[in-house]
Amino acid sequence: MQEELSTHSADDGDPEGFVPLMKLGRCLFVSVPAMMKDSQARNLEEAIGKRLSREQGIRGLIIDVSALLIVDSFVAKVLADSASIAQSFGASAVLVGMRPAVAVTLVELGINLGGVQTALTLERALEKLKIKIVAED
Amino acid sequence: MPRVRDVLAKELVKFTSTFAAPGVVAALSAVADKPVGELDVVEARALLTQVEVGVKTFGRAAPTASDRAELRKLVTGGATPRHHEEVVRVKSDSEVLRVQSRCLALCRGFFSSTDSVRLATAASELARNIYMYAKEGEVKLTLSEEAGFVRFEVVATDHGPGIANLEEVLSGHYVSRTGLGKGLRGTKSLFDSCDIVSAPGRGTRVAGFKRVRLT
Repeated sequence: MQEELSTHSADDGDPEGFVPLMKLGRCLFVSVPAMMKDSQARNLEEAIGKRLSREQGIRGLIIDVSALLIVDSFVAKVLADSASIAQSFGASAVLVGMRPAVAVTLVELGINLGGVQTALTLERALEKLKIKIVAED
Repeated sequence: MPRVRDVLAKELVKFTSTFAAPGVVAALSAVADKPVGELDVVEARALLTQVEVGVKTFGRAAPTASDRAELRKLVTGGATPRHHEEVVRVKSDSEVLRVQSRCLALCRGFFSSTDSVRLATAASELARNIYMYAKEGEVKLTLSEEAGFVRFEVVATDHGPGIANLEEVLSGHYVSRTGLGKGLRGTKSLFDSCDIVSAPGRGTRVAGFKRVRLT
């Protein structure tokens, strides 16, 4: 049952190794922690890849970044990579809930997440994916 | 010099009632036990916030701008508070996160939330450069007050390989293999001003600061 709800990439007792990954219709929903260590970033990418390869019929990945306080070039790369991983399994990724201060800083820092779709709210993200999935089917 | 708490115990009656003032003074944190003039920028700000909340809650009226200036004078003794300095030795990714959270904590109350995120991101970028390219180094965070302004400075120093093609890196045409490009150039733009000194084999020193009006 636990396996249904989430993916443990590391030791079950280790909260840092835990990646909250949930299925939502034909989409996967993943939450990014407020501050990410390198190992957590690897876990995140691994968990997304594993889940997408195992599960059938997943066409979208929603990445919740509302908890993220700071997005530096490393974290931005993790997000872009996660989206690429999803892409390679035939799922499109949407970032949702970016903080305004984070968005401003990203632009000024010259980081372009142009390859990744974004949505203001979870509802909008689901809509975007649904339209896309229906169109592709 | 008398303790800040004693000064406030005497003067706070002006702003609240005779009954409430001792309670507000007693509830202040241990910083208030320092002598007047010994507080640094961060301590003074934290204490001032506590006093203002006390006055707001128990006072006759919400503190006006001149009240706040007067309260500020009581806490600082009329002098500019000492600067606050912290050094984080960077050796692994967890220290990079520590730099981020310390920046956010220090900027709170002085800078807008967007500016805080700008500074924390810039500092994080510099700390991560140390950890990725030089393996080891340090990041110094300094918060100081000067003539009505607050200044937050980040100085990242390492004795790593240095940057050979600094001009090229800063020109914006250079794309590194690891990041999304723009790294140092982008970081520079998040500060008001930023100086980079580096030579191959001689390490790197990056110093950037941002200044805002004190409110």
